[in-house]
Amino acid sequence: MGTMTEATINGLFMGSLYGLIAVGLSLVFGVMKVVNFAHGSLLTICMYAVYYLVMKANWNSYLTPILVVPLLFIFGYVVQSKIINPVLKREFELGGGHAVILLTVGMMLVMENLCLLFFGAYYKVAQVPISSLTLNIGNIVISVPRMIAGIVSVILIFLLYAFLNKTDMGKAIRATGQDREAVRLMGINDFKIYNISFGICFIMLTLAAALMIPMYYVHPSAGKIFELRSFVIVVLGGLGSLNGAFLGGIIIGLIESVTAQFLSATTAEFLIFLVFILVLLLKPNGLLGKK
Amino acid sequence: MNEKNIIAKLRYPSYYIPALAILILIFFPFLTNNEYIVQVGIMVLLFAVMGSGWNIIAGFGGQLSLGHAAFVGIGAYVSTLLFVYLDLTPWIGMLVGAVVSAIFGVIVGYPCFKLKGAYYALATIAYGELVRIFIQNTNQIGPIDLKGAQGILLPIKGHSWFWFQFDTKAPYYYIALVMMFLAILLCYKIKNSKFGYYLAAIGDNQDAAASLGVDSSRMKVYAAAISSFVMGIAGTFYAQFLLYIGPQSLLVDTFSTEIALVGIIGGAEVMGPIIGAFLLTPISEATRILLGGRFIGVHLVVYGAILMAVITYAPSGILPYLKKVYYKFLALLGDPQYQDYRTIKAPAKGLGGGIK
Amino acid sequence: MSLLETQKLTIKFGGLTAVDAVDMSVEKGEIVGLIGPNGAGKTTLFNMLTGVYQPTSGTIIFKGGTLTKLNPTKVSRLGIGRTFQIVKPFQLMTVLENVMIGSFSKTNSMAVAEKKALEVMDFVGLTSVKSIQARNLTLAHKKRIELARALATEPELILLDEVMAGLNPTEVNEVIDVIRKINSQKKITIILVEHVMQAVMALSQRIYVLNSGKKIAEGVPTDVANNPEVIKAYLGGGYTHAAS
Ligand SMILES: Nc1ncnc2c1ncn2[C@@H]1O[C@H](COP(=O)(O)OP(=O)(O)O)[C@@H](O)[C@H]1O
Ligand SMILES: [Mg+2]
Repeated sequence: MGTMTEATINGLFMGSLYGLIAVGLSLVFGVMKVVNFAHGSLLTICMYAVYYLVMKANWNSYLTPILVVPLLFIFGYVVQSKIINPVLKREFELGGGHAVILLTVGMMLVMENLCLLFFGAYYKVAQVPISSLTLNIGNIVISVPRMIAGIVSVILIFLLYAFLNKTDMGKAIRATGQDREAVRLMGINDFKIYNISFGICFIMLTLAAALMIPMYYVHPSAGKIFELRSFVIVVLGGLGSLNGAFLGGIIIGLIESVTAQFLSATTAEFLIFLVFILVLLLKPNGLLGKK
Repeated sequence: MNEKNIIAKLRYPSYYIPALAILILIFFPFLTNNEYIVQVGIMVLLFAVMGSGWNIIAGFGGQLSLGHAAFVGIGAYVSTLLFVYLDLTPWIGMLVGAVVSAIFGVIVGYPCFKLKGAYYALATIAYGELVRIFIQNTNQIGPIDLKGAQGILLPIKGHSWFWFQFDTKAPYYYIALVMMFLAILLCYKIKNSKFGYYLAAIGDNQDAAASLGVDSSRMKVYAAAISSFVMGIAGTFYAQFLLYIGPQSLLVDTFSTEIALVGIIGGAEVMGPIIGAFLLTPISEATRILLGGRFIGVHLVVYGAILMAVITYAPSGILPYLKKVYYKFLALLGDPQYQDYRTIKAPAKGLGGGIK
Repeated sequence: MSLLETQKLTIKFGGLTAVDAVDMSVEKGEIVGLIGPNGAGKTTLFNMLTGVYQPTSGTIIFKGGTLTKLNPTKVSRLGIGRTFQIVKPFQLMTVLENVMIGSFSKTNSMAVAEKKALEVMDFVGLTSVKSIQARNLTLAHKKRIELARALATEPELILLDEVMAGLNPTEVNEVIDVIRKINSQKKITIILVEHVMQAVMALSQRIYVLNSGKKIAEGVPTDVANNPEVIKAYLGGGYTHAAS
C-alpha cells in the first residue's frame, strides 16, 4: 500500500512540474496558434543558465531566477520579434500552417546542437545539499526537491493564471489569442503581445529550470524528454488552455509514476505516447478544449 | 526525337551540361580512390531517395511528416529479419519490406489525415516514437530475435548480387544511383498528373479542393502508401549497406527530421529533395568523418540554420533560386533557348511552390 | 420537377438557429437571387447545400435525389459548383493550375484538362494572368479564379457567394456580363448571393430574402424590392441604400 501512495504523491509532484513546463507551450499556442517545437531546447538553455550560476557562482538554485528570469525574458522577446514574427506575418497572409512550425524546428536544431558544441555531450549534475534530502513519513519516502518543485509549480501556475485574468496586460494577451484583428482595431499591437507572451514562456521555463536543477542532469537534449511530455500534456488538456496544461500535467505525472512503479519505465513511456495518439485522434481539442 | 537529333543538340549548354552531370554521376566511383568519398556519395543518393519519398506526401501533398524514419525502419527490419532467419535475398526482402511499410503507412495515415497542420505533425512524431519505443524494448517476438535497443548486425552471407553484399563500395553506389533515378521518375510522373495536381490542391486548401470534387482522404492514402513504399525500399538498402540497424540510429526523431529537411530545404518540386541531399548530406558526412563520434549531431547546427534561413527568405526552397542561376549561366554560355534569362528577376514559380 | 428543392431546411449552432425552416425551389435554367442582411444565414445555407454543414433538420433534394448527409466532394461530383465568400484560391498555384483542378473532375488527361481550363479562363477573362501565382493577384482576380474553377467542373447548378463584393463598378459590370453568359450560353442554373443590389435586381428572375435565418419574402425583383418587411429588415440591418 505504501508504494501506491508513494507513487501517487510522486506522480502529483512530477505532474505539477510537468504542468509548469507545458504551460508556456500552451500559452504560446493559445495566443499565436504556434506549436513551438523548440520548447524543449529553450528549457535546456534555461537549465544550463541555472546550472552555471549554481556551479560557477555558487548561487542557490532557487534564487537564480532573480538574475536569469529578466535575461531570458528579454532573449525570448527578441527571438519572437526578430525571428518568429516575420515568418508569422507571412503565414497569416497566406493562411498556411507549416512555416512557423518548421522555423521552430530549425531553432531547436540550432540551439540543441550549439549546446552540444559549447557544453559537450556530458551529463552535468549540480550536486547541492538539498539534492539528496528526503522526508520520511511512515514507510513513505519523499524527495524534498521534488516536493518543493511540485508545490512551487502549483503556485506559479496559479500566479500566471491570475496574471492573465486579472491584469490589463493579461487580459490583452488573452484577447489577442481570441481575436487578433479585433485587438488590433482597439489599438493594441498584436505582434508586441506575441513578444511578451514568448518572453513569459521563457519566464515559466526558467522557473521550472531552477526547480529542476537540484534533481536532474543537464545535457544538450535534457529538455527533449520534457518537450515530448509537454506536447502530450497540452494536447491532452487542450492546446491553449492553461487549466488544461495543469490537468494534463497531473495525468501524465500520475501515469508515469504509477506505471513505472508497478510495471516499468518503458511501459510508462509507451503508454504516454499511446494516450497521446488516442487523444489526438479521438479528442483533438483535448479534455478541456472547446469543441 | 531520333538519335541524331539528340546528338546534334549536345552542342547546346542546356543539353551538354546535364549530360555531363549524368556522366560524372555514372563514373563517380572511378574518379576517386578514396572509399570515404564514395561512401559520402552513396549516402547522398540514399538521402535523395528518402527525401523524394517524403516529398510525395509532405511536399506534394502538404502533410508535414516528422516521423518518416518509422517507415525506413520498418522496411529495414522486415527485410533484415527475412534475410537473417529465412535466407531470403534482400532483393525480395526489399519488396516485402516496402509493402509492409506501405501498409503501415496507410494504417497510421488514415486516421491521422483528418488532423490539420500542427496536429498532424504531432501525430507523426507520436507514431514515430511509438515504433522506436516498441522496437527498442522488444528483444523477442515469438521465435524472432529483435534484439531491442542493441540492434541487429547483419551477417555477411557472401559477396554477390544475390545477397546484396559486395566487397567494394561501387556496386552499392550504382544500386543507389538507379534507385535515385527511379525515384526522380516516379516523382516526375506523379507531379505531372491529375494525382499530383490534386495533392497540391489538398496541401494548399483542402476546403477549396473538396468543393471541386477532390477526395482528399483517398488521395492522401494513395500518397501515404507510395511514400512509405519508397521509404521501405530505402530501408533495405540502408540495412544492407551499413550492415547494422538499431532503434537509436534508424528510428530516432533526428533521423526523421533529417529526411524532412532534405525535402524542405530543396523545395517541393521533383528535383527539390535531390538538390537538398546533394547540399546537406555531405555536410553531415563530413562532420561525422572529420569530428568523429564525439560530436555526433553537430552538423545539425548547420542544418537548423539553413532551415531557418530558407523558411524566412526562401519558403519555396533553394531549387527555384538555383534554377534561376542555372538558366542565367546557360544564357551566358550562349544557349539560344535561354537568352530570356540573361536579365530575369524573379525565380520561376508554380504548382505547389513551397511552404505556407 | 425542380432542379433543387429544400424543405424546412434548418441548422442550429448551439442556441443560434442560423437557418430556420427554409423552403426554396430552383428551376433548371433560372438565376435566383438570395439576399438578406449580414448574418442572415445565406452563406450557411450554401454550406448546407454543398455538404460543408449537415442540417439539423429538413431535406435537400437535387435532381430528384436527396443531398442530405453527403460531403462536399460528393456534392461537387453530383453537379453543384460554388465560390467562397472569403476567397480560397490555391495560393501557391498559377491561375491555370487553379482552374485545371476544376477541369480534372471530368477528365484524367493533362492535355484535356489544360485545354478545358484555357477555354473557361477565356470565357471569364483570366487569360492574361494565366501563369501568375494566385497569391500575387488582386481580390477581383481571385474571385474570378473561384468562378472559373467552379465552372471548369461543368456543374449544372452554381452557387455564387458575393462574387462582386469589394469590386469597383467597372469590374462589377464585367462580372454581371460573365454571369449572364454562364446562364445563357452554358445553360447553368445559378443561385446568387449578393449585396450589390443593382446586380441582383438586374440578373435575378426570382429573389429569396432571408433575415435572421428565416425566409421573409420571395418573388420577382420588383415585388421583393417593394415588400415592406424586406425594407424594414434592411433598414434594421443598416443597409439603407440596399433596397432602393
Ligand atoms: N460554424 C459556425 N458556428 C457558429 N455560428 C455560425 C457558424 N457559421 C455561421 N454561424 C452564424 O450563423 C449566422 C449566419 O451567418 P452567415 O451564414 O455567414 O450569414 P450571411 O452569409 O448571410 O452574412 C451568423 O450569426 C453566424 O455567426
Ligand atoms: Mg455570407
